[in-house]
Amino acid sequence: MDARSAQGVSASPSAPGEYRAAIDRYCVTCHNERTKASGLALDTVDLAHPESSGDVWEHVVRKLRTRSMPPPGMPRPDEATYDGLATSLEAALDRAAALRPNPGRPLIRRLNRSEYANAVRDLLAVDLDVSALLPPDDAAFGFDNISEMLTTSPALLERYLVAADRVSALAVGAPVAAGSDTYRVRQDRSQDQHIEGLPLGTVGGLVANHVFPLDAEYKFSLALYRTNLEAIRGLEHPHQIEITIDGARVFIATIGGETEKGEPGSTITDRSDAVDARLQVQVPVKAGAHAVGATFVRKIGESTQRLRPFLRSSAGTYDSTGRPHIETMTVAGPFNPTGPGDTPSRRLVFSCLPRAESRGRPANKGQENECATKIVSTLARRAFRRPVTNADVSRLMTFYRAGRQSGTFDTGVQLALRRILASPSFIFRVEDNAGAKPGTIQRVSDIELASRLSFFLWSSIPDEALLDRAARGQLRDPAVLEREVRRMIADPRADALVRNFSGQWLHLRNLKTITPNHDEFPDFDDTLREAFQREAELFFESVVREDRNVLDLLTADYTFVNERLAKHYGVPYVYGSHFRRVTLTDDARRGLLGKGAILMVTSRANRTAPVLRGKWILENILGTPPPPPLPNVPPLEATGTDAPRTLRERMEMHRASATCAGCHKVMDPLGFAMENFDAIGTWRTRDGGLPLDASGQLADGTKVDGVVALRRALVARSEVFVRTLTEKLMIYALGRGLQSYDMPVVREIARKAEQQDFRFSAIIMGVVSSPPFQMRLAGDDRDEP
Amino acid sequence: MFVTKRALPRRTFLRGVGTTVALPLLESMVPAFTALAQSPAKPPMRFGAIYVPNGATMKHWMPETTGALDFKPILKPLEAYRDRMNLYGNLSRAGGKSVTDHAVSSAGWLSGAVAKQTEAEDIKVGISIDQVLAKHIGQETQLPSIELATEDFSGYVGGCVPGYSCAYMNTISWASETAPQPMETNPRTAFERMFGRASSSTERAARIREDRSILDSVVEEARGLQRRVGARDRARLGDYLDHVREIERRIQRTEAKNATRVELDAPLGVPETFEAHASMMFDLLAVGYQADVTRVFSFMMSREASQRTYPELNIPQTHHDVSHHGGQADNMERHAKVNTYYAQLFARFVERLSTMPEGDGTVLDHSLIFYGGGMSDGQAHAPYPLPLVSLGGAAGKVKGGRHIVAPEWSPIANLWLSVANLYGVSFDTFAESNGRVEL
Repeated sequence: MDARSAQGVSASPSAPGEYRAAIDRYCVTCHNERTKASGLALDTVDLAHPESSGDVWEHVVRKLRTRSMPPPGMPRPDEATYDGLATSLEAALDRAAALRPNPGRPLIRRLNRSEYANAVRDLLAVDLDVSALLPPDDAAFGFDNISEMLTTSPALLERYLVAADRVSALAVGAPVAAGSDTYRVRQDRSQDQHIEGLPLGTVGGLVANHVFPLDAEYKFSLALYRTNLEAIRGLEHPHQIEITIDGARVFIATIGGETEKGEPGSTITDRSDAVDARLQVQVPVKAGAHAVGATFVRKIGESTQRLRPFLRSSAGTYDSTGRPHIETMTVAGPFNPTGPGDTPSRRLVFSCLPRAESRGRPANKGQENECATKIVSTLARRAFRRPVTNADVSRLMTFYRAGRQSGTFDTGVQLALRRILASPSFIFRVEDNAGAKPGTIQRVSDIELASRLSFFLWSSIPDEALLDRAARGQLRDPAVLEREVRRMIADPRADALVRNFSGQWLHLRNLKTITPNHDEFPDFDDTLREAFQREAELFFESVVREDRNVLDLLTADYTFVNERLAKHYGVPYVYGSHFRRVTLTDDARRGLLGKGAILMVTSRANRTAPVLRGKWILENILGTPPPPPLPNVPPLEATGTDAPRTLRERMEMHRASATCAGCHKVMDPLGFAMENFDAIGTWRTRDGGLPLDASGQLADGTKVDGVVALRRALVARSEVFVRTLTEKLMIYALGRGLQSYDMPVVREIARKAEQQDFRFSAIIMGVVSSPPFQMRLAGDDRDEP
Repeated sequence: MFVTKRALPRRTFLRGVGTTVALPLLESMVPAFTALAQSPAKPPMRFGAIYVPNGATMKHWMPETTGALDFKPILKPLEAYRDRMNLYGNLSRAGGKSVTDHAVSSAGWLSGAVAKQTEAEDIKVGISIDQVLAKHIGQETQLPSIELATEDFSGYVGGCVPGYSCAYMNTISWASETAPQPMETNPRTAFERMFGRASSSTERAARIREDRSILDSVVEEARGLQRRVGARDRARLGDYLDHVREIERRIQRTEAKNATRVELDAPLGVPETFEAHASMMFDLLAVGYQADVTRVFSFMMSREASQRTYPELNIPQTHHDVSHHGGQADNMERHAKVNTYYAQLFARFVERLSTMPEGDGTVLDHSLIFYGGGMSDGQAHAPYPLPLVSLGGAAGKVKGGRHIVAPEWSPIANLWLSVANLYGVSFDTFAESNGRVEL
């Protein structure tokens, strides 16, 4: 990056030193050596050489760009001074960084839980729910792929060993003892609506992608939800319940109605047990992954007797009325296995068969060894993400031979595979530092770059095409790199970027933890929760896959809905459980700020929380997270009167206290502007019986009167949003928190993206071409004298 | 309040798959219970710690009279065990008044130390008392200790205290000042760690043999990697090698214990309701104690700042929200209701331990189990006085029925120092300790 391009819009910014007077006038009143507000003294830091106090001045730049300092009520500079000072500081910092670049020191990274799952899927076509195999990973800086946090412990290593055992057995189709897996339906998942993936004409239930280890018989059993008195709901009427495999019915039974007359003298528990006991079947299934469903056959003309039925079918433990709900589906087996079957996993693993065996005769030892060598080399190359060495192969072949000796050719391959999956070369991402002089800047090898790319864009291992390009040393060619990145973003594996990056950046992962209060929100159900998640993911994905301007994330006039969500938003004429793109006619729903998911994850169980919404915007849109609340803040005083107060009136008390006002004056107005959305994102004009007031004044003085005006104000500072998104992507891509020396890179990426209409791919290309992504500072601080 | 008396429904366990499924003998390392109960050997001494987040409504926890053991509403469910219970007064969180938040509360509870304010780099608290004891009394059992929780924190993005690493809230157990121990939330996975998986004994023997040779070979490979990385990564791989060796030791212990087996029902996965989930974890811990799979546990019933709701208690807010009661009486009562609910679930566990005969008494008699939290009043994240009780007699070493009143503002580390000494660890100080608490 050169100094000229770093100057940005303003042709020749003046030197920061020229703004001394402005800083003295507007900042130093509080931030001086004596009072040191927020630990900051701007009267003594070197302004002529801002790079010598990079942390301080980067902090100042942020505050200037978002206009969040000086605080409301204090004298503020004019717009030209704001921009001039920020631009001149940035230019000076960028110039210094160009002269003395620092790409940072990456550390070893353990594969986190989702990376492990994806790696196993891509390596072996084993698609497992790893949440039962591995614990979640500690997060920092908003993401769970941060190298500092990805440490190990004996308990964790034990899990990796067990996982290696199970995954290798599944991949090879090794004989396994019968076990069981249970799939659970959330209690608040409505059972009167069709669920995507299940046959049309059915309602409720669940569908699970289950991996069957062998060609064998499996037993499927269902349990229905019981009330606190052990009764199964809805048995006064008959219901048909079916189990399907890949959409084909393998079982159907009628429960309820006349059939449920219990033996005289039997208890409710006996009768409920008797119903559950009927809901099971044992059938043969081919090895591999199959969609297993359990659901109710839809009855025409059935409806509730409530005058105004809730959208949620009853879910309360203490409510004995309504429909039966499926609670769990358990798949047990294998029983009476007939063989490993022909699965995608076996086809991937057994890249060759011992030669004679393919002609129906037993192979000799030499032929077997030759084939096994080929198999373990191929698997190890993909798993270790690099060309394999002789040492790798001979180490693995020891395990093959041990397994072969005690069993079959397959047993040998399985043991070698187990060793691969237990290997530190698989579990850790290690970049080779050997021979590099500590403190020097090195370009990472093409092979290492391939992994950096694939873990960034796919949360997984490189595929053969990428690895091949890297092995030929082509990835350092910018044109090849760009082609590869575009190919990778178009690949279905880039879903990981949607799930893991946007899931954490936007806090979508929190949806599952939040249960809105049933009395306040009687319509809310898990179907809506899932729809919120799906909508937000599809929306983010549309920007990624269609390579749109990232500002569309704030402003786009389209979204994705199914019937349940459309009903919630008041979008007419949308029927069925599948999602489709619709154009929004309601301005308030545009972009992220109008999405149910965002509105719900920033609310409390029973009400909105303007502070949380404000904090969410500051952190994730504006990139200026508020500091934690001060210690020993006295509680908001009890109201003392029983007169009704609006939430707003109660919140105003925050700002009456001088200690709290500093941050809350910035945070609260952002949240209040969104008050027309309730805690589950429904539009409203009144709160607690009183008319709602969504007006306020933002930190920069802009007056807003609701979400539309708020959005306009955010878009007016588009460079702030683009930089924040870039920063988040950088943290996610590098697996570390950003330092002040990274900020010039962030600005450079954002500036270049602007020349390409802020296209998503421009930011991604900026990140993968940046020095921190392409290089590293060799050795580490402990190596240096 | 709707705590049911009945034991967990059978159908939450694997047996519920159906009686026609012939389950194989579980690969269990559990000596038959009867054998243990009749064993003349000295029964083992055990330690447990159960964490309650978000503080408590203290006026419903602490007796009004200092030193009296009066049972206020929250602790009422434990009154039946008053002769084996002690209540602790005047203990303060690590750091006293200087720090205040959820992160320092959970991190400082068993460690007695102040969590360093940092997002990721150089997280640091202190070794926790459960891990001190795991190293001391946990070496004869297959698992030196077990760590359990109920909340999958992957649904708490952005929910950590700003400036503090999430690790401080995701666990209460630290193997060293920098090594947080992950807490298992899935009862099925915890079960398998404790009792193994379904398989035949020959399969199991083969697996153990293979695991050993894999670990040997992994050690060699990791040593090779160490030569190719910088100093910090070398240290990290060094930790990894230590962990590999620890697992090797576990495997040895497992082999040594392979005498008798019993059949157990495995849990099916994560139950939907908090009550079922917490009860199942308590069941696992009780059986783990009884079968001597482990002698040390820590269990975080919920996480600090928990967003869990309690519709079963008819409370509209989340646990965290209601703990910030704003001085309003109805919120304080609701918070107390949550506290009481937790104590009821804990009391069932105590009941179970008290009905497991062992040697000359019960499993409860040979244990010392602490129950409480690292925060006092939730509204202000108050550091003092901490809510804390202990149950059990530590094999005759601790007399119950007392309200033990420490000097005002005694750091909780004083208590852990006394506990360490009680178990034979000859510490003179522990974390911030400035004295001892009479036990």
